[in-house]
Amino acid sequence: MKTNEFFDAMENIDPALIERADKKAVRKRPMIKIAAIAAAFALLAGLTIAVLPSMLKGDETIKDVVVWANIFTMFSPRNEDGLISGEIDPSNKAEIVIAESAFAEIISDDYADYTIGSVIPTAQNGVTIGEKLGEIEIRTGWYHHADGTESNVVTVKAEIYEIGGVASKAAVAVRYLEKGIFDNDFYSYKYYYAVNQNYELTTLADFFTDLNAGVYLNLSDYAILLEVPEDKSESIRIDKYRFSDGAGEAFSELLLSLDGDGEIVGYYEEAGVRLKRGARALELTFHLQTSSRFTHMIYVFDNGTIAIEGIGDGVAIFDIGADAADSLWDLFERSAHPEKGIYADDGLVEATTSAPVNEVVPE
Amino acid sequence: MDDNKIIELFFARNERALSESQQKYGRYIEAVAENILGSKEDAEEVSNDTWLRAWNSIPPENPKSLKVYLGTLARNLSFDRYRRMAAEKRGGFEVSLCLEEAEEFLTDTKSVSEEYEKREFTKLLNSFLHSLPDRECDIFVRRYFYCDSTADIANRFAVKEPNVLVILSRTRKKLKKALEKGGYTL
Repeated sequence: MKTNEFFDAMENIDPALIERADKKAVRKRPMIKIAAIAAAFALLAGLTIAVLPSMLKGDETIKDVVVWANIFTMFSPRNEDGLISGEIDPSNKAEIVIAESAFAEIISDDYADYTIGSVIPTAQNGVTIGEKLGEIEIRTGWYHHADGTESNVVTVKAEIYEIGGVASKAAVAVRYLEKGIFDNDFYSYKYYYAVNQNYELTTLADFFTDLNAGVYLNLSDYAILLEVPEDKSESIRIDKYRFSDGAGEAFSELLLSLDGDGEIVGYYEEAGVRLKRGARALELTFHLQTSSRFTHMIYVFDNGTIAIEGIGDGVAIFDIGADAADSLWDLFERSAHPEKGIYADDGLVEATTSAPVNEVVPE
Repeated sequence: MDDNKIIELFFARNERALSESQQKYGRYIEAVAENILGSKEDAEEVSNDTWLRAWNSIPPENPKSLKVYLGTLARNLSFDRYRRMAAEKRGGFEVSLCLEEAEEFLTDTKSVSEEYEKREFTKLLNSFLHSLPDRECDIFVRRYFYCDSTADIANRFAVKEPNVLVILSRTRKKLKKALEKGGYTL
């Protein structure tokens, strides 16, 4: 077949597909997530927490998080502003820039839609590895954001395993059979999460079942309250609330008993638009670290919506209904107590206080 | 103005059809052409040709979606122009990349020049696209219908550019398989 004929045939595809592909307006990315680099994760996790509340707001344009040079100073090209790897522009602490990041893509068909994330911390949180499901090949190397090129690309063999109790259609564990060629071992003999980017989200209950949430989804014993103050246009962290004895567990159980239809929407920006402007939200932390994509935050809004970040390339939004949301908020208000002084008036962590950053550095 | 009303104006041979459709879809048409041709000037010329082609083809054509119809005309005219420009060794960079990518899975071993085969191929392509998850399909269409750059696609769908490259690469592989399964020797 000739390429011209293919392009001519593309002209005759279903007009509905052409129209649909044009519907989404061009937007700048609010944030870029990277995979596989532990140090980058640590940096990102900290800074993401700092900027996230301002992303979860109503219908306004959300400020870009620029990703700039990071980690591998000696290899990283200078970016447009002349900054080099490892520097953070002091004039804008909220900016994160990555010029270079590692990528790892599964090239074996059965798992080609799975994205490899961080190391599974089997020593923590009781995550277990199940049966071996097969063998795969992974293409891995460096991607240079400045010029769009790749380097040091190699194909390595790996094995796929079940994560104990987690449906393999949602996520599996990957174990490389070779060790990385770089000093920092960006691939190694450890187990890594691999999450299906085409995981079909249906309901909250199914989602919890697929992730074996009853075992792995231990919610933190605290929640952070987000609000939009009258004089501000963005949500900010009001305070950290700690549940009284047993209440955190009750909150988890209540949450795990809920159900509601879900759908995945665009990362932050679209999610923000869908959420009622000015809604209060409780931010909770998952201890199940199902890769960088299944990151660790869940937001319970007071408008009957739950948002779970980082599934696929978006945010999973579940409609649990106003009554269910009320019961969660009621439990929270009755049994959680503020830990004053964690956050400054602008909602950011006080300089002298350590933010609870998710541990993402490989073992 | 509503698309149906604009089409009625075309049918009534009322030239306001052109000004209304230009006002409504002028930027869209130029964007489609500019993506393919990589030049504003060429895109403007294609845009003019598009209105003329629309004026001459509606009626008898009665498009269900005016936007898609005009976009398809603009794409068609842009490709014709691109091919002429390529013959003259000048032309859009993005479409060269698109063509190169397509050559990965389409080799020149079999022609589908027969009308029947073209129809069958289009049917197969449509069925393949409908079988894809929405996002993959949208990204494929953005790339090979609109000839968007991968950076623009990444912005549009709020994903990393390497992700777009991976998604496109996987989709091309899937398409290759689907074509082989459909009896196309590649």
